[in-house]
Amino acid sequence: MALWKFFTKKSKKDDKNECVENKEQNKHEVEDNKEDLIENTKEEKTKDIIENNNVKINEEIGINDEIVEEKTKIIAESNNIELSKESWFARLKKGLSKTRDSFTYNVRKILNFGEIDADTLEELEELFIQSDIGTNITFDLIEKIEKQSILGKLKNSDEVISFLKKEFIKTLEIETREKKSTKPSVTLVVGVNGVGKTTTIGKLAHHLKKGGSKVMMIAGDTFRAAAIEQLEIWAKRTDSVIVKHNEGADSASVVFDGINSGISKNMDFILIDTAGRLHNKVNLMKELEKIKNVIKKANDNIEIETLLVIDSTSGQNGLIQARSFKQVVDIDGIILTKLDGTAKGGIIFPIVSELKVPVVFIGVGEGVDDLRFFDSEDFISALFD
Amino acid sequence: MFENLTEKLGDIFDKLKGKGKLTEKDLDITLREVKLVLLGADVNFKVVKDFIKNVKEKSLGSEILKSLSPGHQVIKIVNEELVDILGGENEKIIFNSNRVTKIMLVGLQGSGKTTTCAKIAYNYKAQNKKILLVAADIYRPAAIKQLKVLGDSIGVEVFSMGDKEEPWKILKAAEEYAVPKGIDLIILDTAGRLHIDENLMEELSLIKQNNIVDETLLVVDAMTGQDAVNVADKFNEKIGLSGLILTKLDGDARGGAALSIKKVTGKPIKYIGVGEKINQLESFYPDRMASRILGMGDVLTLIEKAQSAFNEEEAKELEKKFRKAEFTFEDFYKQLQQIKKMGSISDIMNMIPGMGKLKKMQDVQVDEKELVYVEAIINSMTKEERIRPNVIDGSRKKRIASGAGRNVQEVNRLLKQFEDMKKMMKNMGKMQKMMGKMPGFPF
Repeated sequence: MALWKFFTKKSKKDDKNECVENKEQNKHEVEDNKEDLIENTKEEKTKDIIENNNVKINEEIGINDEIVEEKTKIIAESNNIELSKESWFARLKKGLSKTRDSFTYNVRKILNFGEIDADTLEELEELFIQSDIGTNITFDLIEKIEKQSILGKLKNSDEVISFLKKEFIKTLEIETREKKSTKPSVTLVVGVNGVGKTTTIGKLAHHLKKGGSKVMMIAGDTFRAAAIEQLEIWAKRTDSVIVKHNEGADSASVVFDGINSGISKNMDFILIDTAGRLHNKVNLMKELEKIKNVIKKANDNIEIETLLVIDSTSGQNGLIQARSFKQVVDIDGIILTKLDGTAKGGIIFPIVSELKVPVVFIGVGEGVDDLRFFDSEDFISALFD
Repeated sequence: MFENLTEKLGDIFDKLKGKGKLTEKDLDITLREVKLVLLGADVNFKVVKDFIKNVKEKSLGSEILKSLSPGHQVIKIVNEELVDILGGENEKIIFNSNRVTKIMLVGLQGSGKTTTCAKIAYNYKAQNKKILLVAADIYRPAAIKQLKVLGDSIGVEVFSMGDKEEPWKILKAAEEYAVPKGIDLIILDTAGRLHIDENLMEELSLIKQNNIVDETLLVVDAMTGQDAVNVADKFNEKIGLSGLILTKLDGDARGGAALSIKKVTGKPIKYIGVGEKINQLESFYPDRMASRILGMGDVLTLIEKAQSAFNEEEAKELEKKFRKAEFTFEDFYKQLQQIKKMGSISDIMNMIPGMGKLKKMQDVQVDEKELVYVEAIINSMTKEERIRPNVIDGSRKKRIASGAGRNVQEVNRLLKQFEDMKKMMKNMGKMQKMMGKMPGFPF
């Protein structure tokens, strides 16, 4: 099963158009906490209780996992569930708050006085460029805004903002590719240096373990000093199995061993960490191809999902990275990391728009829980509201 | 490096060069294109705006548009403005002569601080400085181990107090440890952090409040987008920076950050990271970088690299051998090693003026492996074979080929090329004798 489906299968949406308040995301949160609960109490009984109960959400209480576990246990016993985690949506909003402040605030500021003229358009253009969405999308948007405003369809800042929201959502909504379910499900995590591949794998493993899956990590980064140790610490933290060779070993051979071991140990998920590589290094890119080939060689039936990690602070080079990686190893999805800074992550717009590869996860903080499924509407809402 | 930017600006300027007359409208069109190229390369939009404004004013203000070669004049102005943005002179780390010099590297997560610490250590170790690396990244799993592994690999001691002690205390203790040992330079590796993370920024302030830090260098990933300027600004405001280090410049299509940060913060770029290997850290020369961006090559860096890689005595010895055509595989092998010291062939090519464009035109993929194969073949030869290649017969060829893991054809090709080279040298030697002594570089 696709990795991201695993994350979303329990958070079906009922009301698609509702993206104003925290309701939906809280639902995700509730579901996740349900899983927590099930795991913690290990009682079917509790499960029934949870499912038959109304859920109240309390946003204010901190994010300490232990406290959460304690609390949920106690509360579950009293048949009245209150969720104590700061909601995911709130955290996404907090993470994007710098973006939000500047983006919406600025659109309003620019459009506050009078109609849309050449100066306003230029200011808007600068605003878009600043958010790293690239010149192509910027000019396209400006042209559309200009046209619409001449036709009288865009008259004030609210109209422009809702127009922009629609355009952005349209760009980001890409169907995820159907992949056949295989066991184990193999995920190859790739990207340039320093985007957060190893950390992301740690966070992914944490989630999967929470769902009760058997997770294996393969230490494919045999190049960077202490990369293996870093992954090992994550394996320990998440209680995952790890397959590793020594530093300097052939990455493909570690992966080959790992896949075989994962199959024989009946793993549900195998997460492969790879060395950071700049996309213009031909030999290193070939190595990725080789890694993909050895997985096939270990077991031809295994469906590999390749996820590209993109740093949200990256500029237009992010698009070139994505292009190159897609060309060499094909990309099934993008993980956008470090959204908790002031960077806007705008680079995903040209990437998704050109390559038609969906963003599947986003990272909004350093905590293990700060990696979640990507939802374009939530993302845009958090950006604007 | 900067290939994309260079190439695109080159195209724009080519159009300009052909024009005998330049109207203001032509200029506007050109500058609009320049603007797009710069924005596409992630140059901060404010910097771009000023840049375009300045170039336009200077171009219109003088008699340039009416001059004989207005295109060239405009290019000259663009070059001057670029140098202005990048900063004037190269600035080095300033050593304190009375006590141990302390530098601290800070930056966002994943910008390359730990690797850069080791690169700086390697750089100064080669200049006979005694160095202590200090591990103060107490958060990222295995960060301390990473620094230790790197320190070991270059023979530089790493000071660590585990991940429980506060960084400012670690630096204090490190200095106490370093002084009796006669250490010249302490390099402090700190944890990656967001510029808006108040607690972690406070941690850095504490380091500086409790220690005298000679240099606070911000490590910036060259692939960063428009946000680079915000990040640099915030770090500067909160803890005060003395300079910048740009990393990952060995990728493609960027340099925008390089152009912007210096301009906005006023802090000089001191080093640039140009590869994953420990020796791939270069001093930053703004004027050279500007020429490189404009596709004018960087001959100065090339010469410096050659000077550091080649020993003058050896070079003279070789030159003699050259002229007498006594050059052997043994010598050739030595040469290969020296060239390798200068960096990869494509790096070297990029520094040669005009090469950037040429390379693109012919779509030549320089295969670094070729050299490795040649090296392997020479490695499989006996000493006698290296000095007297004509003893290499069929069975020896077979042995050499299997030893090197190549095929006999490749061995043949190398032998043939070597013979050709020797013939050429013989002729050159004769020519040189006729023309008088020319200052010589073996190749």
